[in-house]
Amino acid sequence: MLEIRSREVAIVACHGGAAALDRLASTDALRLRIAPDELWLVAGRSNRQGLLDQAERWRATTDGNALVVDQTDGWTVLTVAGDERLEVFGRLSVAPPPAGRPALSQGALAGVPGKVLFADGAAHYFVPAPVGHHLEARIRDTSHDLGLQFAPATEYRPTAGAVGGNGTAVTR
Amino acid sequence: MPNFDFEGRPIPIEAGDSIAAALYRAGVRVFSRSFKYRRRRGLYCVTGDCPNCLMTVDGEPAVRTCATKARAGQRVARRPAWPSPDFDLMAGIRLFKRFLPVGFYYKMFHRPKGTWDRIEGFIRRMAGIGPVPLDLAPAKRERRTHHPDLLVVGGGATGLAAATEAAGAGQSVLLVEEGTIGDQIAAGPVRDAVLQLAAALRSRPEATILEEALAIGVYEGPMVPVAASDALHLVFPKRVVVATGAVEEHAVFDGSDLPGVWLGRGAARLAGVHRVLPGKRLVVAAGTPESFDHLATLRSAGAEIVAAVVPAAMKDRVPPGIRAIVDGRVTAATGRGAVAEVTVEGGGRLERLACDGVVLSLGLVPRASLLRQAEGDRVIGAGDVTTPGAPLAAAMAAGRAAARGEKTPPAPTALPRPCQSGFVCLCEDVEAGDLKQAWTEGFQSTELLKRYSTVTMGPCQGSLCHAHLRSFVKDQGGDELRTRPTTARPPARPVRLEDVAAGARYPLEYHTALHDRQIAMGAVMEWAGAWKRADHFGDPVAEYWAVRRDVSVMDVSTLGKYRVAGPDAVEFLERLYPCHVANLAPGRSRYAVMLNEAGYLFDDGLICSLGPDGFYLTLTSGGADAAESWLRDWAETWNLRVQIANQSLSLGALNVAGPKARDLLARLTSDPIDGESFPYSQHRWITVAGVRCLVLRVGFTGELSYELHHPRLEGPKLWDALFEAGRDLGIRPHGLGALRLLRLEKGHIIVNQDTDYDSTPAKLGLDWVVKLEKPTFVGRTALERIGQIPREKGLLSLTFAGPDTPADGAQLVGVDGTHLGYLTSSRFSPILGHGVALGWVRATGGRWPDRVMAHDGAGRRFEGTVVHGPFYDPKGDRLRA
Repeated sequence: MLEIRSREVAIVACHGGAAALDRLASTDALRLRIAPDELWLVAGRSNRQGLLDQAERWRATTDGNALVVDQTDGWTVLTVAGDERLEVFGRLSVAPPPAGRPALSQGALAGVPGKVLFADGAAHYFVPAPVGHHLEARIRDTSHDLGLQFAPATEYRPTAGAVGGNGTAVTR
Repeated sequence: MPNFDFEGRPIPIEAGDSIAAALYRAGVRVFSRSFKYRRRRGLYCVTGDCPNCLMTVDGEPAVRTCATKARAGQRVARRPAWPSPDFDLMAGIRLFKRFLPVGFYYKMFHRPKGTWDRIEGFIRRMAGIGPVPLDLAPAKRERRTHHPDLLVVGGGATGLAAATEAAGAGQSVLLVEEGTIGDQIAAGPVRDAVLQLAAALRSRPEATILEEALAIGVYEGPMVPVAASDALHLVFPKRVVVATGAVEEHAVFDGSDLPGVWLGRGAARLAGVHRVLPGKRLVVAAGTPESFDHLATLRSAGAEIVAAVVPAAMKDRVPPGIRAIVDGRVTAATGRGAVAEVTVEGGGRLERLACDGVVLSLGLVPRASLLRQAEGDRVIGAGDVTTPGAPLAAAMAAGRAAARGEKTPPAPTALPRPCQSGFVCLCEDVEAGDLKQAWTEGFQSTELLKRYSTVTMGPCQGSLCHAHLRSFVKDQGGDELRTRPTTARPPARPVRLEDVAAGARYPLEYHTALHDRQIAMGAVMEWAGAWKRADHFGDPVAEYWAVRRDVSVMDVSTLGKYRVAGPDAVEFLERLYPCHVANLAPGRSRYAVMLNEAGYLFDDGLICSLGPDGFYLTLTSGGADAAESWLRDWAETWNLRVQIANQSLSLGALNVAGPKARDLLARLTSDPIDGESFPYSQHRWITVAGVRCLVLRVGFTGELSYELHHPRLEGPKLWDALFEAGRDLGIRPHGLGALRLLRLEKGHIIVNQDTDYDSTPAKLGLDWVVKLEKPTFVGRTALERIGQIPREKGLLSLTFAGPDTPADGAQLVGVDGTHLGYLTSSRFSPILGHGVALGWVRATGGRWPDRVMAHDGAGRRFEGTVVHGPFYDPKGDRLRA
């Protein structure tokens, strides 16, 4: 069975020096290193303020020149779960699915700039909120033959950890 | 029995039939008319290589019917001809052949002037392979992506062996085959081997097989697009094995294009696979080992073999009872509409043989278009494509070796005998005589002949004629360079336009968080860059008046919104912008423009000082992405300690504008917003309707305005609260239509609408935003130098007596008729009662004109007056209220 659902996620972007970002630790958030000078803390939406507090503490103690920005509202997150999730990915992206788990792929998804987090047994699509409807429609169009079912939106609490480091997780 | 429709006639289908086979069985002999001379063309290769069987199938033109399965209900037709494709009166055009030499369109019909324009349409209607249907419903083709370790193109014995070898080694393999594996091979050991290999491969989890799938080309990567019935597959393999086999050598002699002339594999396929006899009395020219298999197949199917023309080395292979003509050569085929007789030269004499078909197996030519596109370490050929005619075992061994990355040295292949007469290129109707003429005109290489004569440029992409082209050049004395193969490019096979556009028919619309809210309020949306924005909500004039008299709200979430922070943030922005930044106190905002190194303006917006938190920048909706790149490029170039965060996606923005804007906000906030606490050109953090907003006092509309920048998802809540609270204030939403007029009355520019490619701030009347006393900023040097040159043009304000006003883009001329420029924006101003406009105007004699005439596209003329300063509220009292 293939299932897609919208997810409620909190995203706090930390812009800073690479070394300082390397030292950003979190016990309850997934750290996505989307660029050498940018790291996202990702957790369930209910932990939004908690993430901001963590990031501000990091800024205060580690990199006073850093910038912490709440990007929660800027991204739509769609989770595709099921055996055919890689097939769905192959229909949206020309990038090869990254090896290892968790893993992050960044690039165009059905023409939309986005990121795909392969973690917790599913593929989580992060796309700019203004085009979230587009990706959802394209997944529906491209994958209707795979028995895709839409499920109600839920919060996504990723397993804490880190994907990549020093930009090594940035794949195109 | 199932059948399909062929020009109104039902054609029965037997199991395994291609369209062409079913048609031939039903007695169809003329499959198409040729490109230029409208000559009859019949089945020839039956391998999908030649253009002879191209027909329209279910409205799709140029379908290779020999490679397309017949299906019940199909509608099949040839290119229309008058009175019919079987008897086409336009074939008489060949009588005028001497007037239509190769490249005639480069030399003729160009004088007197206009002749070509008149005759071009006629030539285009007469030539070609059929009309493009314009009434087909747009097809939506999806894309799929694959990343196999190995891509094998070709489902013959070589390709299957390669795929099996790789799969056995644990590699992921994708094999694509143009038809159905084994379907087109006559019963025998080769077919048995192929089917056995295919069955084994299908059972392997590492392997995927795509049938009826066409490899279009090999692109950098390598990347191979494959057109299949379900989708366009983009394949990004680590390696490619091209096992596309070989095609039989095309025969070129007088009459070699007549229906009844066959390539051996085609004739044998028709007889052996489809059980249709290609002719009752056949002459067979057997020059390859496999041609004797064809001969046996045809004979056992019931054909009478009139004679076998064979080289001396093969004469012993001619079966008993068949006359052998040793070391002979077929030199001509004649007949009225189809072969009735062939001429064979042998033993120094010519002999005419009555027959209804001639089957030619003169040699094999690699089907190497794909391979030639990208041959290298990661793209290698195997089997017939490098060593034509290799025995089955050798072909399979070559496939296995290729799967391991081992290249088999290609066998030297001889070029065909140089042609003297006949059609070299069946696709484009290029004859041997055409090549000779082109050669005498100086086109003396394969590449030049290709371009001049179009040989190899038709649907077959040189499958048949490329070898002949090289042979011709060599025979004319061409050296290795002139004789070398032409550059092969995609598509290797004909491809549908819908495949080219696969995955691209999905316009990407950016929506703000208020998109649905606005639609529900009757918004008529329009494209604004990648965004869909409200143009109006049914009554743009009422929206305009709401801003001027009451209060109105506009969704301006599309603005670019950026944070810049870090110890070098001030230095960075000082270098980037031509205005002062260091003296911007916390809480204050400043209008600023972005200039490139040439001093030309390409974006504008606000700089808001956030004190210790850095700066907040707004940029235009359409230019934000480019401007962000600009910011990041310079930050990196100058190696400054700044952080740049794009908040355009996570923040929405609402512009609350109008004389009652403050009254409205006061109902939703307890924070001070009076003019003294919160004056124009400043910003504050204010909680509005429970939503914490960064509020900017702006003045684009010319009225008291507050721009509420808020978390995106809070947008609907804020929107609803504003409209609920403003009900008794006459609140309305307004769209871009009203905004364009409102800002025009203030003389505010819209970047890209009012700016030109060389718009300096001075030309735009924005000198005041540039502080040349600053030691450095991007564009400063250029502005200094430009400032020493007298200004020749400027964006001026113009008025027109209403109510009619010229349209945007109207041309401006002086009173003496001199062209002066054009209008960039022009509207009727309801509040002023006359037309207002901005336009680029050229100075004459160092002076700006006082009056101009505007000529718009509708042929109307308007007299305009040049004015100075904003049209509306020139002192800005209203926006500073």
